[in-house]
Amino acid sequence: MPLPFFRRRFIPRYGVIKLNHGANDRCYNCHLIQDRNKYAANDGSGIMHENVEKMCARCHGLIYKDWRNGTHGVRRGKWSAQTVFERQTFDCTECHDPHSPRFQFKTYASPPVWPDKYIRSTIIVTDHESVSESS
Amino acid sequence: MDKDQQHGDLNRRDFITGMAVTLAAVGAGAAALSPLTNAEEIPSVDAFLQEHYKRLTAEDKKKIFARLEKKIEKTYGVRTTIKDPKPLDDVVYGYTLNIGRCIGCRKCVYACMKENNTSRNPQIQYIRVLRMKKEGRGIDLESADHDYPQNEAGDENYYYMPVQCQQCENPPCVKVCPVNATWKEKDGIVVIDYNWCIGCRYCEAACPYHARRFNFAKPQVPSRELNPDMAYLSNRPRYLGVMEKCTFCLHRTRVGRYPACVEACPTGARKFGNLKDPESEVRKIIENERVYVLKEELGTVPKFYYVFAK
Ligand code: HEC
Ligand code: HEC
Ligand code: HEC
Repeated sequence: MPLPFFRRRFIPRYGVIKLNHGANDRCYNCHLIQDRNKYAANDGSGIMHENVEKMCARCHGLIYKDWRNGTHGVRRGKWSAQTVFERQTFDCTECHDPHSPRFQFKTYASPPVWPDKYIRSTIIVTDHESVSESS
Repeated sequence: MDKDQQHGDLNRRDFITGMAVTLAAVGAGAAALSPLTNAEEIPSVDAFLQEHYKRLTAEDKKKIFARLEKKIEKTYGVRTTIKDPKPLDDVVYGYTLNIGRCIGCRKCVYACMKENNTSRNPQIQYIRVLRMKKEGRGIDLESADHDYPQNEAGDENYYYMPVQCQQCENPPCVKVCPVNATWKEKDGIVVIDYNWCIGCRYCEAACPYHARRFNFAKPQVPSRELNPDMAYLSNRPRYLGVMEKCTFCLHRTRVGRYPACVEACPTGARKFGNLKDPESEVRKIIENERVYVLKEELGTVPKFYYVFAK
């Protein structure tokens, strides 16, 4: 499976990490203090990276619910999926940098170059009697 | 030119078009039809005699599809199988698009072109992304433009609203077709039989969403970009002088997959699913968010819903 074009690149930084995550300004809100390979759960236990969304869910419960329902984030594969294998669901951290989670997207595509006649009028007319022929 | 193409002057499309002109009082007049008179693509007699899609038997279809596949192989040098997936039982497709999330990047537009083999030159795109200012009257379609340059996408001061076929429950385009070349299928998708369409463009004029496209020129798709996953009623190569439109990628969706535009959207603004399934993403959104349809007052009853949510 090719990497999706908007997957955040995972570049380990060993320098200073600057948090830009609102009031969530403590490393150990998320990272488990005893085991840096895990994230912190509410009861002090660890969450593995595979389930990183469980950690986000502690503070973003509603979004997490939406994500579970498929209404937040992107899914690919089958709308009629019977098993998890028929569907690819993007993780929170594939779209959001946990340290600076504001959604980043920077590649935009060019406008259409179709000739004018391809669209009878660029405005959508409300009155269907007056569908204008600008072609 | 092969043998059966020599009888091509017997052109049903031109013939019926001529009739339509006489019938037409005003509106799409001779100017709109003129590209057909110099039609360079002359159908074979087989194509000419082809029955309406809905009356074709399985045996007929097999023959026709084989003929089309041969033609595609000759033109593009690509081997394809034209499929004919049927509407699924208990499925009516719905689409939701979250305008609060769309950033106007046009990834969907180009994914759609690729998937559906639409002409690259002249360009045909099923999706138009309208851009409008946020402040003031809110959504104002009259001030919207669809050709903003790419460096003006992702601007906080604007809404971006992609518009494509709304797959109306009451499609005005279907009603005006003089030859029934376009119809609504059981799963709600409005389709076109490109071999039956006479290119009169009435449907284009009737569509309040400007979602139908006309092939003014012979569609050009580079062979290496041709998508070989094709269906008769969706993305097989089109002809000069026929209409085409978004079919919710029925060659994908009728085998359970998401349409290409849904998978291409980086923000997750686009959601697709079965309106009859209470667990589907679209049902969850329609039930929990405020949804809108475009130009509700026309009574077209779109199955494409717009959402304004964070
Ligand atoms: C919102 C929860 C959260 C907070 C707060 C947080 N992190 Fe992280 N951190 C993560 C997640 C999730 C990853 C995994 C990154 C990935 O998958 O791309 C990670 C990865 C890392 C990594 C390894 C990869 C990298 O990006 O360099 C380091 C080091 C790190 N965090 C340090 C810190 C430090 C230091 C702080 C406090 C200043 C901090 N983190 C605060 C969630 C958090
Ligand atoms: C300890 C609680 C906590 C955890 C855990 C947490 N967040 Fe947050 N998150 C916050 C707070 C607080 C804000 C800021 C809300 C605000 O400013 O209105 C926030 C804001 C955000 C925003 C909005 C940022 C913006 O500028 O619009 C995103 C996106 C986000 N978080 C994603 C995540 C993801 C992804 C994870 C899991 C890797 C995560 N959060 C884990 C508390 C948390
Ligand atoms: C496909 C990419 C994608 C995935 C996966 C994703 N998000 Fe988001 N998320 C977005 C986009 C796009 C926005 C809107 C950003 C904006 O409006 O600036 C957003 C917004 C948010 C916000 C801010 C909401 C607000 O009200 O401002 C939070 C919090 C958030 N996401 C958390 C999460 C969490 C938690 C997960 C995993 C359970 C997740 N996201 C998964 C793309 C994604």
